[in-house]
Amino acid sequence: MPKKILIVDDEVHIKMLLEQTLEELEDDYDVVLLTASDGEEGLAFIRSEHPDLIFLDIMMPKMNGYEVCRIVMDDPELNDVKIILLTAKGQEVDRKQGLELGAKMYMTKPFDPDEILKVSKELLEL
Amino acid sequence: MEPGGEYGDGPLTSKHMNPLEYIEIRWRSLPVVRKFAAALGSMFALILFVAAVGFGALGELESKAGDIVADSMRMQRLALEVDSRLQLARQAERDFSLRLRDLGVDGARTVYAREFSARLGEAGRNVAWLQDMERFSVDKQDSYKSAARLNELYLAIERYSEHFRELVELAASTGADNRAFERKTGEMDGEFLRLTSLVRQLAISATDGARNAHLEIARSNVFIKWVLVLSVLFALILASSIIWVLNRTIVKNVVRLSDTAHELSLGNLEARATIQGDDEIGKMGDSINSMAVRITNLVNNLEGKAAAASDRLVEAIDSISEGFLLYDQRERLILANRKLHELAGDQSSAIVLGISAESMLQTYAHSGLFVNALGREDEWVHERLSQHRNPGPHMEEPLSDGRWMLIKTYRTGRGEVVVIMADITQRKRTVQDLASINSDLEDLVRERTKVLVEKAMELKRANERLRELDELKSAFLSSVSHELRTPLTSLLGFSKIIKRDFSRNFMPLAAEEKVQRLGTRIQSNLDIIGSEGERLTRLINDVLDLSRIESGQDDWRFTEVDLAGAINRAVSAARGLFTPKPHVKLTIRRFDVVPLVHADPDRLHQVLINLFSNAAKFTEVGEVAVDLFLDEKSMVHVCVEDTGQGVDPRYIEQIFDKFHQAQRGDTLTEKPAGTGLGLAICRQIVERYGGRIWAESQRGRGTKIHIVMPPTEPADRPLVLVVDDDSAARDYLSMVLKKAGYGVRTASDGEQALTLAAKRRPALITMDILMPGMDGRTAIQRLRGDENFKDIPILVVSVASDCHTAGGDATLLKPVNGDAFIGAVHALLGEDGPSRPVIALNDGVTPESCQLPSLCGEDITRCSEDEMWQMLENGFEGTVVVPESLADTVDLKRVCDIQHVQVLLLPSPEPTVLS
Repeated sequence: MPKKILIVDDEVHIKMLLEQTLEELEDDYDVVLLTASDGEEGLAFIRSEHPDLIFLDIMMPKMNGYEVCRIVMDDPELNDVKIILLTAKGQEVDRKQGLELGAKMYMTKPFDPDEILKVSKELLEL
Repeated sequence: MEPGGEYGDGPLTSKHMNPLEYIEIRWRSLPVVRKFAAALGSMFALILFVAAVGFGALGELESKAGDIVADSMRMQRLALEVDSRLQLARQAERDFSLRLRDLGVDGARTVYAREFSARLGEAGRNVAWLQDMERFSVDKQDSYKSAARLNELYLAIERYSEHFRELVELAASTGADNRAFERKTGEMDGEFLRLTSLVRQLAISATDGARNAHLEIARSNVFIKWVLVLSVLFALILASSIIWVLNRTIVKNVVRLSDTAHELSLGNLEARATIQGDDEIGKMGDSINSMAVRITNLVNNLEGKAAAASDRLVEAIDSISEGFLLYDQRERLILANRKLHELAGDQSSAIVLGISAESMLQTYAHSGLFVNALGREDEWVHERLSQHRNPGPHMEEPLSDGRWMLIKTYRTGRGEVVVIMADITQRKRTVQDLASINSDLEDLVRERTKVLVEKAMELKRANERLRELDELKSAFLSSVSHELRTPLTSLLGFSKIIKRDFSRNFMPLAAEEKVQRLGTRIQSNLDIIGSEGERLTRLINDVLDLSRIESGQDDWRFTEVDLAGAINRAVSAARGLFTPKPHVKLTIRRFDVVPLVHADPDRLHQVLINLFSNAAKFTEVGEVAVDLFLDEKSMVHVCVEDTGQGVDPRYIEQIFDKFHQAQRGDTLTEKPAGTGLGLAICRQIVERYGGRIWAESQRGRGTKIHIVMPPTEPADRPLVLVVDDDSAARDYLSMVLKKAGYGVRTASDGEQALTLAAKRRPALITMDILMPGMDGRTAIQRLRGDENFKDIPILVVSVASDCHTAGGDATLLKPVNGDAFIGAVHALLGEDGPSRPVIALNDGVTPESCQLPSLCGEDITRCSEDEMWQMLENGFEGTVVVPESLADTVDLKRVCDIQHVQVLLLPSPEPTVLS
């Protein structure tokens, strides 16, 4: 059973960057990459695909990242998923709010691709 | 006492009090004369009453005497009765003898003997009555005599009767004509004679007794009456003279005193009481007289003073430089001073005492002196009068001779009116001169002020606009920075991916040297993109940080920070910054023990890192040195000195400005320099915590950045090191000590305590005994063994079970009372502190041997153990001082359990060695 990583971001370039960064894992391990462009689509994917790790942007149209995070964590069937929040906001209050909602990590843009790889490996226990 | 004073102010009525009280009150309110009259009357009445009783008794006596006389008469009559019966019996006896011959013995006996016996029996019965009467007689002396006489009479009658019987028998036996018979008759005659004389004597004595008694009584009666009358007369005269004397010596004097006092009270100070005599009343008169004299002197004195004061007042009023007028309540002039006459000049003749205000004003209105009155005299007088009656604001009056008068009118408390007139001509002229100068000046000032106000308004508006713009700028920067992050992420991320892919996949394929060179250049160009991107990221972060600080959005923590620890952390964190600079060394040069400062530890770390990174940036060779010390102003001082190129002194202040950098190089070829915001942020942070940051530099000689921060507590306060493994105990003792003004450091075991003491020498150490790691006993031994620390006082704070012989200077047993704790700390430091009552077990703790004089001071009770328990049971609150030598014998646990009692153990004094 392959491990699934879902990337949710409305910014096409960021989505691409994450995809290209994480492609390495697809090559080396049994990992599948999925992408969504807004909160609602992301939530639909989460429900249908049940990914293991989610990179979730906070500022998105239709449904923001906090909301997606809250819904997922409130759902007992889904809440074993590991969520990494990505944001341009870097303030302590935002970080605190994200972690309180149950996210595993909070990464501030601009992030380092190497860091993304390292964290993903750790969380997926690869 | 005044009756009213006792019974209230209401009218006195007999209704609500008993009659005795009523009489008493009436008596008290009677005038003295009446009292004397009443006493005199009672005395007369008493004398007359005694006289009447005497006369009554005399009358009674007289009637008794009458009774006695009547009894005597009755006795006399009875005696005469006896006599007549005896005569009849004699007759019968004679007849018997004479008729014996005629009638014969039997016949005579039948007739005369019976007659004789009857008469003699009657006489005997009368004698018996007399005896009865005699028995009730009053006069005992007399009575004996009469009784004897009556007895004799009775016996004589018996004898006489016997004789007659013998005669009859003789007659019967021998007949009458013999000698025996005649002898018997003769005997009988003799007997009869004796009888009659006895009866006569009895009658005479009865008559004489009665007469004598009567006479005697009558005589005594008269005498007693005379004596009575005389005594009453004498008593009356005596009483009258007593009353007269009393009246003369007391009542009149009292009345005179009362009259004098009344006169004095009415104000007649000449009144004197003329009382002769040296008794109390005389003395009272003297007192009243001397009092009157003193009062008179006093009054005279006061009058003199009043007159003097009045004279002085008049003189003072005369000497003032203004005219002064005083009108009484009827508007009559009663005082006008000399100056007023001078002011009035020619017109002063109108100022006459007693003149009414109106007529005086009339005179002056028509004199032409007052300009305002010319042509409208009546109106002017009316105005001035109304001003006089209801004093209003001061008035200025021009005079016809060119002078100006200021007229002030005041009404006094008694409704009198004071008018003061001052010559203000000089002032008026000056004012007029000044006024013309002033009006020019005022115009000028007004114009200038207008311009200034306009400028100020403009400045204010500009300021507001600036502030708005600043806020707008902060908001703009914040949002722009956010928006910059996303493209920057792509830029940095993709350049990294490109470089990775390029290095892994393309470089190995480049076989030609030219292509390899090109590949290397592409790689280095990608590095530039990456490093510039990182610089851009830092810039964005700094801009955001600064705008947060400036807009006040940041939450500032305010905790006590040890700068020594902060520097240690920052130095080890900044090691990485110096890795690319092998010729630069980061060292801590001076590292004094300093007090804590108030700051946010993370922000302080940020400041230090910033300073180190700046120093690293601009230094190529040499060292970056850190100093930490307490400067002469008792501020905590941090200095970071580098051996870099330095800053031109002209720009030294500007380096703390935003976006200013001391050197600007070609960022395409040089390594990225700072964002230009670091020092600005540092300044914001340091100043936020009450500190100051500044730089010192010479071009080519390196730079010194100084930071000073205020300590949380003044450094001159004594430092107390609290050692306890229980954090609650540490916090409590720290709080108590801080409240009392001590600086406090805390340690949780002996090891930490020794380290802290070595850093900064405490004035006193409080030590728990049972602690994990190094325990208190060991710590105390180590401290005592160290030359530097052996004289630091140690206060052991511990539980009862492990209390003593730990080697401290004193031991407080837990639970610790805050006051007692501070008292012990004060005492150990040799300071006077708040004292609580102290009980000391007397073994060994004497004032001389007590090592804590201020604890064994005045409020101390020395006692035995039994007395101590007694006091503790009676609710003693305070400190119990126990010598350590008794610690094993006294039940300390029990003492500790008593509320509000603190146990303090003191080492027993060492035994004195006798020389």
